Amino acid sequence: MKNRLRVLRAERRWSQAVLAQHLDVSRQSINAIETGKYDPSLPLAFAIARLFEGRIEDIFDDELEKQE
Amino acid sequence: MTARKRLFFMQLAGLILAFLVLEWLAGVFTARASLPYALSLLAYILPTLPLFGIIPLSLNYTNNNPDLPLSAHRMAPVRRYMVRMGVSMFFYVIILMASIVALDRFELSVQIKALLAVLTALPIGGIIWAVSRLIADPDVDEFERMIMTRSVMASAALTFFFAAIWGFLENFAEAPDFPLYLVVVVYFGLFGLVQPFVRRGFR
Repeated sequence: MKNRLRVLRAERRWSQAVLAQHLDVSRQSINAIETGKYDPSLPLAFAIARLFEGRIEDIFDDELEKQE
Repeated sequence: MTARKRLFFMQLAGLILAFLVLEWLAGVFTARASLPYALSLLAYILPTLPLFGIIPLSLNYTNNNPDLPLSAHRMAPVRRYMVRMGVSMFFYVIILMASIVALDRFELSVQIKALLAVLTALPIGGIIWAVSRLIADPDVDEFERMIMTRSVMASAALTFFFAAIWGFLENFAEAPDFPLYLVVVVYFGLFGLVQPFVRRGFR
């Protein structure tokens, strides 16, 4: 799933490892989520949204808007 | 490959080499000298000690791996897995060696031999249980869990596939008998081999 995680991370000048530590996940998870190859679980998606003080739909784009 | 990784694999290879050399020496030694049962058992069991060094080695590696900055809470399932694996391996080695030497030394009835066979296989169930518990552990990183789950499925599927191919090779083309217990070894070997490929798909 497309997402703005890389941009949000860059804004805070965090490395993938730092973001991984904030979320208590492996660095590989962050990489796979950023490249859109892995969709995080709902709890992890909420944790990401909470960390960046936004809503899940502000960060993840399920491309529904394109279909409309 | 980083220096850390190279060192880890070299230490790993060293431990396995030490095991093989010591086990070979034990074979030569027990064949030459006619030892009592307990002593020849000891001669076979002692060389397996380096194998258990794999556990602290792996723990140390995963703990300091800069690529895997896992918190203590994420390391706990790995520790539990290593302990379960170590206990199972310990019993496997002891029971296997005891069975081999007992079969070699004593005239046993078929019932006792069957009992020894089942007893030897029991710790393998423990190893499978340890892997299953690791995957089911809620403290395991969800991405890592997905990689492991996919690897288990892929290696099981490949094992069945190879078993089917070999079965037909035996029936049609007089291929040598494949010892069934080695299926477990093939399965765990494939589990290790497919993981990098499964991982690559998510880069």
